[in-house]
Amino acid sequence: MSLATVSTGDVIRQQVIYKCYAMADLWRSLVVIQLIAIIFSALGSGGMGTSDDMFSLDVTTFSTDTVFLFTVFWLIVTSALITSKSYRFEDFSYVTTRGISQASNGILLLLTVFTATVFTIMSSYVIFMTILVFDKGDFYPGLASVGTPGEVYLSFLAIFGYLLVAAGAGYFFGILIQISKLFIGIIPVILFGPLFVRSYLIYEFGYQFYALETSITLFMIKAIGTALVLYGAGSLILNKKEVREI
Amino acid sequence: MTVIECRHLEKRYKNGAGVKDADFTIQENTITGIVGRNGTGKTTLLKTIAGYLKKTGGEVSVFGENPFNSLNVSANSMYLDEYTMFSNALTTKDILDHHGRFYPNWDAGLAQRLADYFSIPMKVGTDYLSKGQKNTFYGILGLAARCPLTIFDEPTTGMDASVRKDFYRALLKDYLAHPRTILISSHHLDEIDELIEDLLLIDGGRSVLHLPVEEVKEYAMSVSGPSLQVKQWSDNQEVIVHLEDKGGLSTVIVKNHFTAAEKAAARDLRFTPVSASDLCVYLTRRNKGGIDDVFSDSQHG
Repeated sequence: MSLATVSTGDVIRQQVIYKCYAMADLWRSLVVIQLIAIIFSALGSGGMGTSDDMFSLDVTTFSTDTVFLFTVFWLIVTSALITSKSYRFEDFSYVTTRGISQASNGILLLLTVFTATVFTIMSSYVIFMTILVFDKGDFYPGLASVGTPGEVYLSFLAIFGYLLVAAGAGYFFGILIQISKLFIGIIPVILFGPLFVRSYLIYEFGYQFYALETSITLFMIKAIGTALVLYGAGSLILNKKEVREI
Repeated sequence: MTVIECRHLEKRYKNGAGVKDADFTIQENTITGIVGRNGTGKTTLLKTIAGYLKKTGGEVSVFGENPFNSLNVSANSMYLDEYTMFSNALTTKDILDHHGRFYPNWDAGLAQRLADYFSIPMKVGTDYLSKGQKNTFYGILGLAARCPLTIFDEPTTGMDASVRKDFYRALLKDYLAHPRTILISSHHLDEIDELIEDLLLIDGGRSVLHLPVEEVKEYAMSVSGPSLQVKQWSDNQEVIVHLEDKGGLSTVIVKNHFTAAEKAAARDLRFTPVSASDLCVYLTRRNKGGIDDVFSDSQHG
């Protein structure tokens, strides 16, 4: 029987298509998570009120912040999940190499981040419409919610950048846990430990490095760079890892 | 063409178990049965060949390449055992379809016909299949993919007797129509000795015997008779194992390379051929005596 010759690019493509089908449950969970977040958001995320003898004023702020935070959390869990044994071993039930598995995971994460970003942006319209239907008060749209195309584009890039970092971090942490279960304990200590010592360390740095960045181009470079480093480091580790070991 | 070549291949786990010294060559278009006792490294060997595990010593080459991280090996080989994993989000029908995208020789018609014949439900995930159905399904994948190298690790676990028979028959028919290299590991050599051409016996992580199955059947003779005569005669022979002595009679298994004259000299002894599966049991015996001795100790002590 003659040997089949296959190209790496084609196998990556087939793996990505396969993974999109196999991850159907994860896509569904994104929709559920965002719907829950939208309900929370439609209740209003901040409010203030003032009243006098003659009048009372209630201001409720609505934003997609909750949807965004839920999505970040979902993405960290999801990208850690695709490094778990069952997902990794499944690749090897078909044609693959470790490199191809990593590449197709990377593309899958990009697709996921893109979809999640679009969903998050769109959720502001859902929240907007929900308020229009159910709330009788006056409505003052903010800049980023139902803004001009330029503003939507800007918030798209910002959300995309943050989600990319979340996906990279989740993927890297997931792989660390695959190497040693000890990381299940170590990772929370790294993340939350500094809070007890000196709250400045990681959070202040992260805040200044990403959140205070005023140039969207620089922010994107930082976000993509961080995600690539995390993804690359994880891939290097997994490239030597055996599968189906006992 | 040589498909698999192992030269003193070693794959040890941290606890020391695994493959210690596998040394054999498997040619193209043969069916080889891999037999051995539990925990002697059969699965480890097969997974190393499939590129799942990384060797710790020696050489292994599949289609002329190191299988670990080789796309060429992955595209042309398939490893199937009862722990083969598929997402439960996919139905068995979906899995068949996805195989068609990955394997160029995939025969979708054959897969469907076999699945119908073995009554595999097509609308559920693999988690909902029984153990036997699952292994039958994986067997179907292995047959229909027509990979140049197909590795079945204990393919018939959980299958009932008739499915088992049908599966081996299907395997043989498809092999004759589309010759390829197939490795089958099994605890039940009796079941596959009609099917396989070569036999590879693994014991204690080492490849002990690699011969055509016809030669294995003539490899040894069982010689029995009065203890004294058996002992005298077998002193000059290569004894594989000395079986029990009972009532002044004893039986030994000797390598079948004595001359006709030597056989003629042993008039009172009875010579019987040793089946391939019995030979494997004798060759892989770890200690003198048998399971009976375990109990006799506790009763007398």
